[in-house]
Amino acid sequence: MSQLHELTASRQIRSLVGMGDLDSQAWQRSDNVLACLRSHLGAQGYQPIDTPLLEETELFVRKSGGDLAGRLYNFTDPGGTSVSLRPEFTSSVIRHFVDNRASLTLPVRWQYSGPVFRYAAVEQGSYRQFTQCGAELVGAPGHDVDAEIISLAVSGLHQIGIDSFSLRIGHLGVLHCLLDSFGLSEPAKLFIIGNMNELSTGQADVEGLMKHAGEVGLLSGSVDLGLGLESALESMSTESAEEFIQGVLKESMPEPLGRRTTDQIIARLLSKVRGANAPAAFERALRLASSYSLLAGEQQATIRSAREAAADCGVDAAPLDELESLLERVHEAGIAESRITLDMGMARGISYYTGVIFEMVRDDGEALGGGGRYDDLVQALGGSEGIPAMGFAYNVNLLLDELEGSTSAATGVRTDGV
Amino acid sequence: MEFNGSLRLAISSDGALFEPTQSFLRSCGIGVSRSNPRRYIADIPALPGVTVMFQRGADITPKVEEGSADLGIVGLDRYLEMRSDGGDSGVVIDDLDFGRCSLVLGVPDSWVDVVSLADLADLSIEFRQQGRDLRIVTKYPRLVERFLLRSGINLFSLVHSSGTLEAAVAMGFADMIADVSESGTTMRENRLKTISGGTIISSQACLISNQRLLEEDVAKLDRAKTLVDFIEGHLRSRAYYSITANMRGETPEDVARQVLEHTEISGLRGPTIAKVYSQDGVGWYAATVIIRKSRLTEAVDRLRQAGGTSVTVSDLNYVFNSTCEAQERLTGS
Repeated sequence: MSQLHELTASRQIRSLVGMGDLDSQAWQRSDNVLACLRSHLGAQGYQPIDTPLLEETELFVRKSGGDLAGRLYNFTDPGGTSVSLRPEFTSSVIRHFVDNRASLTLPVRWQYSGPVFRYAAVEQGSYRQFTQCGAELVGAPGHDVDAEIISLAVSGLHQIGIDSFSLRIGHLGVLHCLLDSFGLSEPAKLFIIGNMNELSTGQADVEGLMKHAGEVGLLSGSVDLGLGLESALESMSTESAEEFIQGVLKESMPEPLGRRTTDQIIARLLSKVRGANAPAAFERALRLASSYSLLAGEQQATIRSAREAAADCGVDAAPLDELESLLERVHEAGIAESRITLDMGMARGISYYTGVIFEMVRDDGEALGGGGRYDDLVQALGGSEGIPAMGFAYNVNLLLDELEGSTSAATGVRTDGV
Repeated sequence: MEFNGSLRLAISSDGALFEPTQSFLRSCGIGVSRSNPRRYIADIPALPGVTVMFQRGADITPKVEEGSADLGIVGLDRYLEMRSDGGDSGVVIDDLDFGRCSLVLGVPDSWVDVVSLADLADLSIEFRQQGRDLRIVTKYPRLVERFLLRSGINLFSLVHSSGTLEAAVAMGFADMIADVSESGTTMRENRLKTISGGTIISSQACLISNQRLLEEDVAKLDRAKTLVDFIEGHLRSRAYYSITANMRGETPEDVARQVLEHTEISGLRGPTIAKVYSQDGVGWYAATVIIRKSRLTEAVDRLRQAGGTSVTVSDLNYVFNSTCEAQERLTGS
């Protein structure tokens, strides 16, 4: 036997974990569902576009961050560029928008479909490569657009024969607005919003997060210089702290090592001291966030409780009026109240969302798809102006699982393998 | 050929695990006999059919993965850095109780404004605004990259280096490092400091196997089972002492009753009672129990209260349970 033959005979090469083949029947089923979704989106004026599978890594980490960034398939290509397989489409679509901004008339309505890649510990049934199909509406603000996208996402599911799901709606803008009334710094607000999920699942509590916020230097009096001078700073007003840092500390600082100069270090230290938050206000904000993280259910009751919680913290609940009016638009778009769960503690693991977020959730809690408003992404990805945008995507693999599991021989799409 | 059919155990020929691995195996009663310090192959006299291969620490994981060694003793940090997902290797015993260290982020001590991961995230954005990347040098690019991305630090570039990292910052080659630290001394000497939340992984030596190879070769698997039985039995024994006390009593049952009254001294299952043939002819018995090391003083006090005298305490070499848990992890099934 030749060496090569021995080698090839010794080990069978299998497909990678979390990535599967489609046989002809499965391909056909998938193609039918995709065709149906594409035609549904197309009929509503969403034009198809496509973007590369591989993009510069920074596209996906600059604004997405957090959970999604930790799951990238990233590597250095032979030319030395740090690249990633796309974990979602939105960032690529917005890059495309920024590239072509000059020739576009707003708003644009785009749809897309194709594989995305997210590395994950593989549990039964989870995919590392899966197909997304989605739509983005770039260049228009307002509840009409929010309602258009949500209703587009919901009606698409009906179109392919999935009727048994609930619509979970949350709103990051409301929380942001409410937190504004506490006079907190931007990092402090992000810290609180970033921990909503931990608060709602009980993985974190107010006391623990207060301690953590102190450790990371978000609270005034907690800026740790590692020099044993913290207590001196604590008793000073912000002005005298600045004076102290500029004067005494600058003199006694260790010789700078590496590429940062003493001035750069001092400048950042000053901004840290200035940006530190009053512990009492921070704690009140955290308490409000904590009670919101547990508010979920029928929308009227949830809004009522949300108003009460805001009043308890002495905060103006006007942002909730916005949310109520948005929900009205969603009803007008034909989505029954009984289908909606309003979840004040919802977050979606992607940090570019700024307003309403939503998911279509099946009975076991798995999200068949979801999306939200992301008004800052265009600028973050290099756009010269802030442009509002909103979109959503389905996880087509889960849609197929759902269709296969259900016995309903419903509507337009044939799911029987054709 | 030297490897013919024998079980191949790869251990470190260099670095921090070189000496400790051999002394650990000796303490397990399966010491390595190397006929010549320049030879890279050795035996374990207590375990015929096992060949020890001395390998560079960085090579052990790939050797086990590719199947040129069946078992390996390696730092968990290195294993997690180098293992291939879906490959043939697996961890058999994740803590061999030596080689403890942490993979930590180290920043210049002059960065008085940086004390936490949140500061680092903020700083990485500041660097990017100045048109450069926060440059981090490390031997562990995989672990470090995942850790930073999960921690919300997205804008950085990693420089992979296998040399001495601590000097890289002073040389202007990197802004900070991510490296293994046992005590933090080397870091401090090089004017680097750790930050809150900056521990990427706590590590120690572990035993790994090529699960596929062992599954396919019954003879090798049997030898591997014996080897891990020695190791697991010894590791378990480290938590216990054997205590013997002379006690007065009419019958062995009488003494046993006195001992069993106190849970602190009732041992793993119960006391072993043996007759002591004393010169005065009075009824003396030796009661022996196995107790957790952490409860030694309590146990001695209790034995005294129960009338015990001449209490002797000994280390144990092995505690074998009815089954060896690690044996089940040698293969994937």
